[in-house]
Amino acid sequence: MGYFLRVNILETILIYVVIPAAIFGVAALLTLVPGRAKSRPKYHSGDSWDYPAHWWSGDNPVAVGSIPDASNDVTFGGARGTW
Amino acid sequence: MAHGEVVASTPLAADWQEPASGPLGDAALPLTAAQLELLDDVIFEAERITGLRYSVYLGDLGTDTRNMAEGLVKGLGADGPYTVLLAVSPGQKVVEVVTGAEAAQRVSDRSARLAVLSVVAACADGDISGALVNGVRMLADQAGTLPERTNW
Repeated sequence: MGYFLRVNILETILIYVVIPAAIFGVAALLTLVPGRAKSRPKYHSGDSWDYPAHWWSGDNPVAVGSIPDASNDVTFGGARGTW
Repeated sequence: MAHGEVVASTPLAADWQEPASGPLGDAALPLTAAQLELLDDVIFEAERITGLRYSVYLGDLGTDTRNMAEGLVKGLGADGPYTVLLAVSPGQKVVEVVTGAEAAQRVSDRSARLAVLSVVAACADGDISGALVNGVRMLADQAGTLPERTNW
């Protein structure tokens, strides 16, 4: 009984409405902060490429096939293209 | 000499330098960590199924792009004849696929051109990561599965 006398309607609204709304508001505003993941500029065709060269290769053992001494053969196949 | 001090013949505490290997920040790299992981998986799977060496190069290819791409394959030494190299130079807008002597019997020039078409289409759209991943996948599909590895 004494509690209801000490907390008026304004304080009740402040605690149960304004404070939760403020918490949700802060969380909503944080979604507008640009993340670090988007700091990497997206590549568009024609942009300059300033990154250092990268070269990846697997390390599975190759299946040696019909040309055991193919290391002396320097003929290459393949294709090329531009955009 | 104060309490706790030591004298060492060689400087133990050198200036901090960026490590040459190990976990590095990827903000300055063209591909994200997730894209690199996917590319790694795709290369691993392609090699496991086909028994060929798959290699991907992303960067400048110099003035003679074909020559440099072939030089990369030669640089793989004994694996060179079994290598399928996909080289993309976004700065020059050039794609090169190089197949070694043995790999060329599995991946024909015609199917290599098909993969190049796919890579070119993705690169023109700005999707470098997708171009590399799908390019390797197409080249692996063309090479086919080794009979003894169908159950791997």
